Amino acid sequence: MKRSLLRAIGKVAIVVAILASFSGCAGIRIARPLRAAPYDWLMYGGATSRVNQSRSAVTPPLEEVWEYNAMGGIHGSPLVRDSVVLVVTLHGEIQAVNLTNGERIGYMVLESAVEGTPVWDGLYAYVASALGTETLACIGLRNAERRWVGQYGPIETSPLLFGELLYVTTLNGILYCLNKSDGTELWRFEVGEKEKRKPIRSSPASDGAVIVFGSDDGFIYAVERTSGTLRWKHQTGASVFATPIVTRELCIVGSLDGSVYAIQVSSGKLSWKYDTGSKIYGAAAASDTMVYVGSADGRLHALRIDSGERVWSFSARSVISSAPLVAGDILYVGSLDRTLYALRRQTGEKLWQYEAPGRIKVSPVIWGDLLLLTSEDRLLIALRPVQQ
Amino acid sequence: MRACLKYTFLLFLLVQVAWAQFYYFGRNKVQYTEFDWKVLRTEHFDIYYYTEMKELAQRGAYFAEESYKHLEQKFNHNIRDRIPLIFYSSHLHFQQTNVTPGFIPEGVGGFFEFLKGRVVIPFEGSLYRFAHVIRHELVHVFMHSKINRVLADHRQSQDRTPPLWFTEGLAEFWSTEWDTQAEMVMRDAVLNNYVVPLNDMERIFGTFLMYKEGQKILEYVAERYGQEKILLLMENFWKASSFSDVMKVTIGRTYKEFDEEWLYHLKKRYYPIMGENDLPSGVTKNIVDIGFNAKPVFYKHNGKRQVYFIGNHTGYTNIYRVDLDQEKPEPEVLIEGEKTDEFEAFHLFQSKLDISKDGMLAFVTKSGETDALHIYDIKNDQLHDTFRFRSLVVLGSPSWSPDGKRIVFSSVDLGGSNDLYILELSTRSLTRLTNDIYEDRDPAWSPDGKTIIFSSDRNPYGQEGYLNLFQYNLSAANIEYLTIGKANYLSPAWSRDGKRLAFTSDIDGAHNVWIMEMDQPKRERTMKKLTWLSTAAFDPSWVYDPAGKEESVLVLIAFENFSFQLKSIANVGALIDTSRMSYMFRYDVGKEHWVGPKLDGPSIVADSRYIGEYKLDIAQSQVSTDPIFGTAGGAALAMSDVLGNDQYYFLIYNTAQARSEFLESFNIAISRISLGKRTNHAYGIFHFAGNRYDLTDPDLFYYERAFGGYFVLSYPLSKFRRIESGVTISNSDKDVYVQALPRKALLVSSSFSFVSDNSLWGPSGPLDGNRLKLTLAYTTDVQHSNVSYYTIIADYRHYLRLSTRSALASRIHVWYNDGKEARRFFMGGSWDLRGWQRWSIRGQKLWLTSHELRFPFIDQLGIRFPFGGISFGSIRGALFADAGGAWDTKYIDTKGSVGAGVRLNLGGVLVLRYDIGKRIEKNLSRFQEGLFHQFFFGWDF
Repeated sequence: MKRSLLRAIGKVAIVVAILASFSGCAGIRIARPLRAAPYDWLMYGGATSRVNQSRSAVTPPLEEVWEYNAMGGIHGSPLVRDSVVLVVTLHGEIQAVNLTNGERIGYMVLESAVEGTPVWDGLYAYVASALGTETLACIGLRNAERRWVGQYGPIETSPLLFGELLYVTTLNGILYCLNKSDGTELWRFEVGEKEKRKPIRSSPASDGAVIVFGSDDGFIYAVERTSGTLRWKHQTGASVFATPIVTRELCIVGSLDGSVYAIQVSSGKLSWKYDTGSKIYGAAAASDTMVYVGSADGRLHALRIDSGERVWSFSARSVISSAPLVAGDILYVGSLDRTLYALRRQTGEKLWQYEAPGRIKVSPVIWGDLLLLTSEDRLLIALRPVQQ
Repeated sequence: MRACLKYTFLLFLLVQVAWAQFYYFGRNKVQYTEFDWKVLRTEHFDIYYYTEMKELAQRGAYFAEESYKHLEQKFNHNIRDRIPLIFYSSHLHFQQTNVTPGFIPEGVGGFFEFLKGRVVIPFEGSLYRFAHVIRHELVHVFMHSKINRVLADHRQSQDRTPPLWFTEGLAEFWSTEWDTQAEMVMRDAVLNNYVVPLNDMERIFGTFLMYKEGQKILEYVAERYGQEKILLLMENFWKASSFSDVMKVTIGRTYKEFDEEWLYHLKKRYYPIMGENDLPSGVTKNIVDIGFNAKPVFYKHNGKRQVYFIGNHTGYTNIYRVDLDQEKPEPEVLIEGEKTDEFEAFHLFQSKLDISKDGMLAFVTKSGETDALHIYDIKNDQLHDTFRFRSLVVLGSPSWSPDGKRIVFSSVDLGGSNDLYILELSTRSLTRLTNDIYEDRDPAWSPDGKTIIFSSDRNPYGQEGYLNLFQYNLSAANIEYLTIGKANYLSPAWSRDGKRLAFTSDIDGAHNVWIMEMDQPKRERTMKKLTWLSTAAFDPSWVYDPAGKEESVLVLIAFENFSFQLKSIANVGALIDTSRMSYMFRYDVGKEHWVGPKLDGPSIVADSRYIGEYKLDIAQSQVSTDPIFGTAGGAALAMSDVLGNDQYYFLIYNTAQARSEFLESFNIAISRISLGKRTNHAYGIFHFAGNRYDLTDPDLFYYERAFGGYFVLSYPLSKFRRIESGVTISNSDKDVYVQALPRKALLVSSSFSFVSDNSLWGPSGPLDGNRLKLTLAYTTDVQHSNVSYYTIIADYRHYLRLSTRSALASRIHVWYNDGKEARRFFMGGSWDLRGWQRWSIRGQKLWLTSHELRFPFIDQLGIRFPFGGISFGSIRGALFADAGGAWDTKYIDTKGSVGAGVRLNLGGVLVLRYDIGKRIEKNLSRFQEGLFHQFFFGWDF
């Protein structure tokens, strides 16, 4: 009892200390580095492979802890570290929220709407904007200053940080590799000649050797991570909006043609293809042996990674346009039907569901024992397992 | 009608007991049918239907849910609230809807109403078209929701929408295939060089051409740039205020840049068609090329070879006849439509005409609650008989039996079934030939009397909307295929000798006339292509002589220069013999009819009787300044039920200028308007108090407290005529500041009016028809006898059509109040006696006459700026002369004015008016010095 009380006091003290290091609302100021935890969620998909696998698990039923109104639409996943949540909005702000109580710590106005998820790297965040000139920025969270800005054209995807290198795909049809410290361009890869180049709405993912992404031209590209040379490309039947994931040497991504493609990262050879019968807007999630992908007809397909064979499927009442989240034996997935479903990962059995105030278009994120859910109508909702 | 009652209500608020002065015209939306409304609740929809059409509602429910699933995937979006879907089993019932206050023209197939998100759709005899319209309107629902979501997410104002070419183009593109009708329009536009570039699309705002161009543009964008770009045009809507710039960020082309490649693409696509095909004017003889024409039928009368047809040349649809042997055929009106109760409307493109051997013309009009079948004696030039059938709502395409004793026609019944019927003229009895879910239309009785050929979707491709020809054998009462295939076969017409059947088919991409030799054994029959029109041919009809010998001539309707023109084509026999395309049907292929799906069982969440579901229409607070009430602050609420039949209005405001006046300046009015039955009524109560100016006497300033109630009845005799009656009781306590004593009165006003209106409107006002209003009213103070006067209002307006777009308009009106404390009328200004100061001429008696020549002035005025352009359409000119006078007890003098003016219609809702002229005074004996200029707004009288 005494120990738990002390722990609680300690937590409060930490939060107070952190809060004390922030000043004001207009601007984000984090005076000292935050403590890292293994389950920190610092980029889209949770890792460079974008596999949407959480390192901690929360077991339903969950209950609402707090609700935060971001005042603008949210398309990017929240990022979390050490009691601070970063949220980006479609009215062009990056906001810091207190994970403990859902209160705003501060915000900073960006170039324009942020459609993707930033990368959180220590005391910096790399944020891409959909309109304007200086569309890529490294934001210093310590002093609310732009460490550097880059003119890379409109970006609606989530940057990828790998070591010292930052990768970003743009609507101008270019994959850039930048030096994260000053934003200088190291190399670029263009998906075709200028006049014929199609936009890229698919965020880059990496296994360490290659960068993979899809494009409006219907191809999935794999580019050498260090040199930017094309290793392979694979054509699908329609544009690829979804972000690929890389797992077990496969690049797995769904296309608007309704098929999920699993391509060998090393060779570009198609390993398997699975037809969902509907458009695929969102990315997949992967566990050790399975891959999970939602489709626009509201179905969630659980496929074997090695063969593409369907193990089970689950039907929501409306479109699934965001990636599911693997959390231990639970699979969380949101739908435009405003419901967050918790399914048994092995069987697809529905264990629990949560009715959100708005449509769910963004994958949930788990940090510690909290699940952060983004709901339309500008809300970020924190859920925690019901205390027995 | 609703507008009229609303106006009445507002007038009550404004002039209180002087309501005998209320004054308006307008046609009537008559509630002929008392619908027994029910609600079918499915997963996403609340479907409103009436008992007779339950099965149809279930089919509509299936189409709606199917479309919903399809569209949520396309839009990557869903609809949060349940969608109210209101079905009618026929277009005639649909025209009675109160969801929208306006009249619904013949061509409107459904609509989406933004305020409450209601979708209103009639069944028009075809399940395929029903499904198409449902999906079309649901595209609007999804788009509206999606765009609002995108703007809200980006914290932008939700007061803008994509341009109409996009919204309607997408509704078509995502609801139907590119069909031969759409192809006809685009071919004609490209080959006759009138395609309107995207950059100039406002020139054809709201037209069918704009809808089809929009559809074609989006089809091209999807093909050239990718399907996903259509969705992205909506998701990128927040990125720019101009849709041209949204195009730029989405496909990399502004309107102007897009036009270059798009117009080039169209030429590449359509010019080669001319290698095999002809422009209609190149290969046919022109008979009538003005306006829209349809359904010709030939008859030889008094030695004259005449064609009778339905046409719209002036805005009204009429039956015309034209002499084929005239060098320059001039059509004459045989039967005027849209002006009388009997011939309320012709179904221009839907119902054909037929003439019996002895000169009896059979045709169909809307006439009151249902359609009526009329028999017109051509020889004696008079209406011979009229038939109405209580359970048959829509009638179509009558065809005479060879002996002239029976007529076969198609009809949509109360439940929406579209079937064939035979009318026995002598007994006036009906025999139903078909009874199923399929669309049956265009029956043609064979000259030997044994069979009826008709067009129907009872075929394997019917679910995709294709209509084949069938043969109904009267003796065996069975139906056989005449054509079979994935194409449309319409308008069969027998030759006089029964050896040939002419009809149209779009089997090779455009509707053209084909001929089938009917005297061949069935299995050897071929159809041969007769016309090779690049656009389309419709409604072939044989031309023959009284002896029955074919003259080898067909009359037909051809589409050219965006007009349906009456043409003839000669040497039919030779053309058939040399036809380079023929087709033989295989009757041994699968001929299973499709089965219309419907939603039932567990898919129906609930099915219950409709009980009024009310939602807010308007809720606003405001501060306003009014010439009578002064400055007021308050709130107004309006609410109505889903069907729009019952409406409530609440008004509360205060005119106090100081805190001490607050309680004595409190005003409230509650009103209910009921439109659900044929007799409309409105009633309400009010309490008004505060300082007032008297509009009829600018020197009169007073405090008044009045409370009371009113009741108004309006009964439409037809679409064009109605009677109205009303009574108001008001306790008025008036304290006039310049008078020593207050005036108290308990006023009772009653009135009776007759209103008639069959006018046809142009861009700035009526151009044809006439309008009449007669009112008798009496107002009296039943408590103190302070007030007692009667009112007579007589107003007549006549519009003499001089040409399609010009008219001479005349009006004369007399307003007469007489008695104790009779109120004054007033005039002067742009709406009545022009040139004179607005409302400056006052009197208890008043007369006015106006004469005005209305003519087109500028059709399109475009102004270009470096940053863009604006354009104005429909600028009209007027030459006018007015005269009138007003007096209390002794006539003073007659004033007048002459001058000219221009009127500019802004978006169909507002007309700006500018007049210049000379005032005339002293009993019209002297022109005043100088010119007057008046700028105001409002429609022409």
